[in-house]
Amino acid sequence: MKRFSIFLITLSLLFLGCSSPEGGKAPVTPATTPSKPTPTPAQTPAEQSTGSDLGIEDIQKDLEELEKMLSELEELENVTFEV
Amino acid sequence: MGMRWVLLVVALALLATVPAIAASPDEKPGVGKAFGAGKGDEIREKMFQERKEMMTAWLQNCDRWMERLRARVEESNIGQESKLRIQERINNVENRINEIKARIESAKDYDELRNAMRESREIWLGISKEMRMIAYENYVSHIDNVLRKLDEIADRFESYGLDATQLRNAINEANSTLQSVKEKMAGGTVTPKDIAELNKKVMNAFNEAKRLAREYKPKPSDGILMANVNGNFTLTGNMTALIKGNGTFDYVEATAKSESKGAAERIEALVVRGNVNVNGNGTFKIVAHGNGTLILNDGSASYVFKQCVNQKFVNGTLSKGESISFGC
Repeated sequence: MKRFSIFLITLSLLFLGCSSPEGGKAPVTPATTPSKPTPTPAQTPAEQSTGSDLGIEDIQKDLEELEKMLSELEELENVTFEV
Repeated sequence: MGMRWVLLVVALALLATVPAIAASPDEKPGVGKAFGAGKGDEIREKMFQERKEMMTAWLQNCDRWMERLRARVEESNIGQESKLRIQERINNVENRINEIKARIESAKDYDELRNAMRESREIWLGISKEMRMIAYENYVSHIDNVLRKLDEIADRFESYGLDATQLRNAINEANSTLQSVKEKMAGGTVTPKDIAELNKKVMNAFNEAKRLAREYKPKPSDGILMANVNGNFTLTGNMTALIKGNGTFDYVEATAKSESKGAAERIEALVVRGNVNVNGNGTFKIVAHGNGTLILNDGSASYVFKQCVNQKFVNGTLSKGESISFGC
């Protein structure tokens, strides 16, 4: 009987050891701080940039393409006709 | 008897060694001249293949570049006549490139390729300058358009209340360099350095526009109106507006701090702010941000406007007595 009770105590200790939280820390409750609400169109800041309708991106694209064409022309001109 | 045997052995040994000594080091038995010629051919064949592939790739790049140039000319704002003239020049250059292509492709060996390359060099010398001139002409026509757009953007910034002085100065500098490049192009003296200088000036103006664009944040309740008026108009409402043009002009502008009245003749540009009431007679460009109404009392007008900032621009025209309201 004494051996049986020692066995039971050892078993329960083992069981508790395996099921307790890692590092013996107390369980952490989920954070209750409210998450930021996703802004809806009505909640967007009062001042909103409309830079896109200025056409800046189009001009940038145009300038990049023009520069690219000129640099490619330079590369083409570097051809050598020596064999 | 023994001596005879010795002499025989010596004679046989001499017979065996003399031909080997007499032979030149290059004339090794079983190899000889055939080996050197084979290696030379192999090198020439390899060079032929390499150069032909290189030239084929270069010709493909030329084709692609010319096609892109053609497309850029097609989408540019230059007149139809100028477009046709440039397209004709592009056709000529393409024909000459095709001549080079035919010569390179038909070369069957190293010697033929060498001759083809010599002829191609002559053709290329004749067309490379023309290619560059067409590229510059295309560049200049696009830059003309870019500077016009930047000027319109400067109007937008100014009508919103931003200080566009630096942007205007940068645009003016770029425009002045553009004119100089156009003159040099007409005289056939334009250089890559001139184009690089123009590019630098245009980039300065563009970067200044980008800097101001970060400060340009109209309120969602603002409307935007851009109108060209030829006649008599009245502009009223709460706004910031840029008015440019020629004609007689009187205005009242009232802000929380002050109220001012004025009249002008033959104005170049004026910005009015607050509660404004403007009456003008002449040819004007009006760019306004805010809430208000443009009334055309007489003459004609065309406009582009947004009722609210977040909406899309809409085009329209005004006749005598008609009006357009903007703002939310």
